[in-house]
Amino acid sequence: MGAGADCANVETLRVCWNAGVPRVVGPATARGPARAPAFTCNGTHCEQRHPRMPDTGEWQCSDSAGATICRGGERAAGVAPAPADPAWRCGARRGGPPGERVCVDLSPDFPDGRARGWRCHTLYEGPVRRSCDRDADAHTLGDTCERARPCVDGSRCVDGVCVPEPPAPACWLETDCGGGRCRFGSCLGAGT
Amino acid sequence: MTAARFAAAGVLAAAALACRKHEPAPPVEARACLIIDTPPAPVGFDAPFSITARLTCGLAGGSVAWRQIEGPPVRERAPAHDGFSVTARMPPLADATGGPIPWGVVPLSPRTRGEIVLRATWSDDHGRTQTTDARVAAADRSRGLPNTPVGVRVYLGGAGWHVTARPADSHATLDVGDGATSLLPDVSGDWRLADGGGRALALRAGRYDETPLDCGRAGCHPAITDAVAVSPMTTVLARLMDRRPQADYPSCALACHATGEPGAHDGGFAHAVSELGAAGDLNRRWNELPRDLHRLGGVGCLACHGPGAIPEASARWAVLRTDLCATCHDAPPRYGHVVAWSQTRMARADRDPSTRERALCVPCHTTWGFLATINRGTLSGFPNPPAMLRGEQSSPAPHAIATPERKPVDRRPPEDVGPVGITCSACHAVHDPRQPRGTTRLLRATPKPALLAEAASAAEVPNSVCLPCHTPDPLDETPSASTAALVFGRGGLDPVTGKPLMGAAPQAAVPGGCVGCHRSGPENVERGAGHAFRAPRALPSNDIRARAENLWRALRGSEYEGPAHAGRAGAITADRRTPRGRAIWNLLLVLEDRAADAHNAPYARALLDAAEAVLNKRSAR
Repeated sequence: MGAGADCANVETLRVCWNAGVPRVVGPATARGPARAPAFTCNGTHCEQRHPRMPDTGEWQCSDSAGATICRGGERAAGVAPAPADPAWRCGARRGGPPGERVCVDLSPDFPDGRARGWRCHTLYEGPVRRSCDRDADAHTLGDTCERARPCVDGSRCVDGVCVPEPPAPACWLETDCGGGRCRFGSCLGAGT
Repeated sequence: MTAARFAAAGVLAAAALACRKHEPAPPVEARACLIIDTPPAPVGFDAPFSITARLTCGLAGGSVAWRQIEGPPVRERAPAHDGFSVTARMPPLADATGGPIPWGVVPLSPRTRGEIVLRATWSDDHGRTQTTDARVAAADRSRGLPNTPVGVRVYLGGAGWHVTARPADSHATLDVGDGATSLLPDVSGDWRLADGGGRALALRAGRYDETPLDCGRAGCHPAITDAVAVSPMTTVLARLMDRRPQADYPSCALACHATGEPGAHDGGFAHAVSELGAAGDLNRRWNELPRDLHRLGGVGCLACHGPGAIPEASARWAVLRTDLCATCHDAPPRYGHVVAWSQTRMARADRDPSTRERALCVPCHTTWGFLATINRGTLSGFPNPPAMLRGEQSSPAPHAIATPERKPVDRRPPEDVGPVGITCSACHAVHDPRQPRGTTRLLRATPKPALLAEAASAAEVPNSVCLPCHTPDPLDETPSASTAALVFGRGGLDPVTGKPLMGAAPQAAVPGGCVGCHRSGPENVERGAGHAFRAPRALPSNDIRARAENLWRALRGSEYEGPAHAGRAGAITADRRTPRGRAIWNLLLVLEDRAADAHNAPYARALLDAAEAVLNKRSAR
């Protein structure tokens, strides 16, 4: 990919957006120095303690079709400086409280490393944990796609795989986008 | 958590307080072939426990001898099977703490939690030997605060405890079976307890990793959060993990360089490490750790203030006790700070109940009074704390501590708590928002007392925190605690003219300030001995004290029973509008400093010369 390309891991793939046009360029790159916390599974239910978040700050996270979106980012008190997780893309939340950010991870952790076939969310009752359940009907980023099998809203079929529109994290709720749609943390125009 | 992971946590628990030197082990074979299995968790006070020993490396036979080398004496020690197992009973809570047990949550330090070390020495008929130490504790540590971690047993001082309310999903019950009442919180939430007299105690249990670190929110503590970001306490794990000062770092230091109690299911650092599995591998650099270990690594807010929630206002006084810092700094022989401090007069500064009640006394005899005074002083004109607390200066809440970003909070302990002393937090400000870059040894920065305004070197005294309470207040009727006045050669008055009587200040140049001399303490601790603040040796006796007491006797016709500022010398005024009053003031400056000869003998003599010139003349008359 040429200079100026905007790239990110999407599920298990490396995707670059050039002038807003996505292209799958290969397998996902190594994520970074911090290893993935293990999942503990019981049947078709798995949980991951200490799930990844954008940085040491205070975050509230949810999952959407194979991506994890977090809002917040209030700095953590009494914590030594530590680098932010480079896998997350972040931006200021439109219309949110001062300083609030939205971050998206397009390649979060899954029990078997693949997004497809899992429906996940983050639990805050008790210790924070990422909870995933097998769901064969779940449609996610990274799904194979074709005309008869469209991609989830906010993504498009590129080279037979569902990839998101260029990520520009700015929204948590639909109302943050002023009439547009909030998909994977980014505001998309009505017709995108 | 799986059993295997808990076992891993147990290993961390055993090692976490072990970055310290012990009695040197005798020379043995290079390989450690005597393996000791100790209880994985604290065994309780006055409770039996057992330890087993086994041989590896192909060794067999022989016998094991046991000797206690640290901690309060265990009881009923009984080796069996040629010493390959030993049973014993932990000391009772009162024996372990070595003092009266306070009401409510009992603070427990590494020294007072009933931690013992038994040394096992194996030998056989061939002259071979192996030695291994076994460390066992009766209890986890406790800050003595009512917000407490889940999974860490809380011991309660008092009698007749019962639960009046508990979290809906809790199955925890009070345990009175090990020599003291205790509770092991099993879920996060609020407990309401009451003692036999009906006195209530609110306990809040929580996990460290469930507690938000949002203390820096606007309207809360943003400036403090700025201040602690670079604090050596906050960054200790980050700095040392990358430096690896010891081969077993950080595992050996997790109890005090990270948040939480190693071995407990408290959501602390060691617990998170065990839950993270391979992702929690500590053989990496700080930046490579997962987010939650970043949040729990270092001595952050929760490491001192506890998890869960801020305690009820009426219980927040306990944060000023030395017991809080003692959870790490009371681990002799390595960390002897608290042991040394407990030998000082400051530790007993409020032993006399009147010092906790009289407005004149509380600023320098209580920690809460000192902090209230200096914090308020930044707003309304320090120094004149006694006058302020007497109501002669504007002070709407004289006992309340008010930092620039906090509403005033009364930190006065309940009356039945008894003496607390001048504690760590009087002298050390671990998160002073006015010192965003910190201070040497986290010493509290205090304003220069008015009496020393003209003493230029006083501004550079490294430990100026001593000065407010060891410098007389110029507005007082009689001078109190005059040490700094003597050291800096200030405070005296020419009886005839009323002009300041100043002198040289030879001791003011001592490197380190007050603790340049007052730095000695118990010899059997590696660190912190200086917190006994003893001068290393007494200077040769001279005439100054005797001369001052003679002058007092001539003036009053009775022995000096001092200190005068506490009213123990009888009512006396030093009306500085008159030569006689100024002479008395000078005399009291000398009498108020029992080491005036050491602090500044020439100046003390000048004060006495000036006093005698007036008082002896009158006596003769």
